[in-house]
Amino acid sequence: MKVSDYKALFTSEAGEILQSLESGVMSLEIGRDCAACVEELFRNAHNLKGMSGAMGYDHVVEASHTLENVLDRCRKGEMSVSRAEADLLLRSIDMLRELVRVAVDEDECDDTDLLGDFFVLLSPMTTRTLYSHPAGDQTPSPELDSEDINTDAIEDAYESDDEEPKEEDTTTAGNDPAVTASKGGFGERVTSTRVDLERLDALMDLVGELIISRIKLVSLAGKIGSQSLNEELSSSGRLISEIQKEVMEARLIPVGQVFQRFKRLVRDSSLALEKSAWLDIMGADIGLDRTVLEAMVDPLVHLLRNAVDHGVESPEERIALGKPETARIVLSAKRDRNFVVLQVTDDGRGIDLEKVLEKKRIGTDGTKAELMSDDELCRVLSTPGFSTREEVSRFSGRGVGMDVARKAVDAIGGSMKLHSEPGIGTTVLLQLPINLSIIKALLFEVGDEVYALPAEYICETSRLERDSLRTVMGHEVIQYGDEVIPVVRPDDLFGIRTSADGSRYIKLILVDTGNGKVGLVTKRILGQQDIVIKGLPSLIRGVSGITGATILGSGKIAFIWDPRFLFKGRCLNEPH
Amino acid sequence: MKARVLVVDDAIFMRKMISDILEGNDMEVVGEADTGTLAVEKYKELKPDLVMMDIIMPEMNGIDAVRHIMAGDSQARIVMCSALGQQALVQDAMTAGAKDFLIKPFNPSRVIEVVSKILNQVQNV
Amino acid sequence: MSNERYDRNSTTMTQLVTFRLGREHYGIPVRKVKEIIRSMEACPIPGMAGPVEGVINLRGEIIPVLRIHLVLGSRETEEDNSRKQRVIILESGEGRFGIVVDEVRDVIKIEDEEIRASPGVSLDHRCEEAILGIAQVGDRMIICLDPKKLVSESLDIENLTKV
Repeated sequence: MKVSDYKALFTSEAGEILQSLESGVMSLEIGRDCAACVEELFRNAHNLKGMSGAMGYDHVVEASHTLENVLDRCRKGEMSVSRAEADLLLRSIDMLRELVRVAVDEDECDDTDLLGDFFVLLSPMTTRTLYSHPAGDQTPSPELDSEDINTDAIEDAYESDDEEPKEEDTTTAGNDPAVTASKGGFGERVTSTRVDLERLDALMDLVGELIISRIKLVSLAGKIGSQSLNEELSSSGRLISEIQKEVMEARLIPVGQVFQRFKRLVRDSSLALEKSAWLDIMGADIGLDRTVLEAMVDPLVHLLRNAVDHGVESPEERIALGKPETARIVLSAKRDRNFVVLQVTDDGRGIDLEKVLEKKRIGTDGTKAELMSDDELCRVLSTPGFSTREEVSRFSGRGVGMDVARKAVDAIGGSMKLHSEPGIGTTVLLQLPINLSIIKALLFEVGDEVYALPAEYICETSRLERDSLRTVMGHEVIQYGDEVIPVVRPDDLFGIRTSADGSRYIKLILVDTGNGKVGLVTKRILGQQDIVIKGLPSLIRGVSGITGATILGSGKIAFIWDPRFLFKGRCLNEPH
Repeated sequence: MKARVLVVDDAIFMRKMISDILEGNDMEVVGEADTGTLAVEKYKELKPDLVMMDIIMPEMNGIDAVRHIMAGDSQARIVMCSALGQQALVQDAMTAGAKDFLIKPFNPSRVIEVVSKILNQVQNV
Repeated sequence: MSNERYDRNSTTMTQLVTFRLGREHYGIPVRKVKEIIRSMEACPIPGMAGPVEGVINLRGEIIPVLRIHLVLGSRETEEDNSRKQRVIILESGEGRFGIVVDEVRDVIKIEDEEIRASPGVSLDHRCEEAILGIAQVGDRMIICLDPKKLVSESLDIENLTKV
């Protein structure tokens, strides 16, 4: 085994350690579980030092050694952590994270300056103890034939460096009741093996291929018409869906892994607004698919900033209202059948309905504030460009938050709800599918490419005579039962070039976009099948109208369209 | 027969590294533990030939774990894995009954040297 | 962009993969190059214009491919040159991406101090950012690129979406 083989393991564990250092410092700052917290912090810094030593990341060793010393002083009660110290510690953790990154990436940039900055930053809190490198091979071992413990050997082995006096060192870890109490804190016992996410994705893809291959087999078997073959195929079908279920479960990540970092966000943004707020996380071990979880990061950032900016009152105001000075924002997760519900709750001032109505000028048409339902309120607030805020703050405003959240939740087939009580607080609920890796989709061709639409949005597909198209104010429409339905051409929507064909017929997919039905003109409809969703590479994430892509049996890539975009996109295109 | 070893450390990274060194040298890692408490339990259950014990761990530290294990089995063979600057702690651990110690970061040949010395020594007794 | 960072460790060597775009020669540090493949047809991204040609399926991974001459604002490229054309797969902080080049030449080793500051000829200061410097190797003038900067400057989704 080479040292480089341990890199992945190092990276993931160092990441967890840094995360837990960060949340530990914040807990300390507000005085939660002090003793246990400090113990945990110390242990984390200590472990990081040991691990980076093994990897030969000297700068990380030196930095974490310094941090360990500072935390050791906290542990011994020589120093307490309030706002100023917490600020320094948090900034030092950011630097440490960067040092780890540089070391792991073997980035050629010189991080000596960064390390220097690190020392300078923590210097107000350190007593001078520099890390000296272990003696390595020359280290003598205590003589084993003697029953006596050769303390000299121990001293020699350590080259008695410039550590704290040892009397103090003996008052360590385990004897402190706080350590024993720290069970179930932020360093949870790990009982599982680690599997590389890439490997899980690969597994998922293979299951997808398996499903597709089975679909082909089934259609072949249909032609042969053998009873025993069909029986065998149906039992393999059951097995495949079992495997699919298991793999999907394995892809679930505890939300806590992502949520922890929001604590820092809430702290920093509330400080910048001269407010005081604390984030509590509940249901941290609830599992959510990686893709879904990643998609929720941005929306949650917006919702949390909204809560701090719009919800939480200034400390003076809170005291005057008889509320605790520090506001409590709760981010919770719970599982509800095939959904995971995420909830952001604050104990702030709630949403001012009057102001919302005034802004929306709904008041004039007689709607009373009291009559506005939560659903309506939610709809209004998540309209792009809406905000009750006059000025736009650095952290939120312009209603962008609700708008972004809504969009992201929609894109993965979830829903958003809001509840607000004046003076008591606001709750935003996000109901999300647990996973969305494999979906049923309708494949179709436009131009030279194949695309997919999620099957649950498809009403039907049909072949119509070209002459049955009508126009209303220049827009193409078709008659569908009693309804008149707008027709969308992909050329208008995405600028995809389609060659005009002279055929008498057009192939139409009737899509229920959620906002209304739309008829989509395609070149050819290929049929329905299970597809494995692949997230878009981060470099092109955010292209509107596209939620993901899939790889077809032929190896070709097919983009998955966002059905809702068909409608919105259409609205944007005025008649030509 | 392969020597059976219990590896105790709260960092997965460290456990993996030690295990790889030991297994690469014809020893068998029969169990891992990430707290002192768990180490004591696992020792009772697995009766390993050797324990590699970290010092600073949650719930119960390595020194107390040594005391507990030695109380149950005075023949237990435990090697402390310590970091630089923990000489006083190592001293305590040796007093409590640990047979030897290693300093992180590990040097594989040194690990094997210490471990085999201890295993051989006891076999000869 | 100054070449300060090269002064600091003036003796270090950098290995560059060199390639050609029309008549211009470019180099990218070999460490950032994940793989070089024959060019394959990219699947266009609906509604996206600009330097992104599309995505390709590289053993199950979806990878965006850039027309690098558009990123660099260079007019140099050979439209029809499929025999020598290659896609260089690079690693940026935000995942892998490919760039289409007319020809991959060789891997050269040069001393960092041979890389001089770019003359600042480009009007677009953003693509100037992506240029680490320029090195003269034999009769070739090699423009050294920083892959990370290439994408951070070119993939501003909001500006690229047509609709």
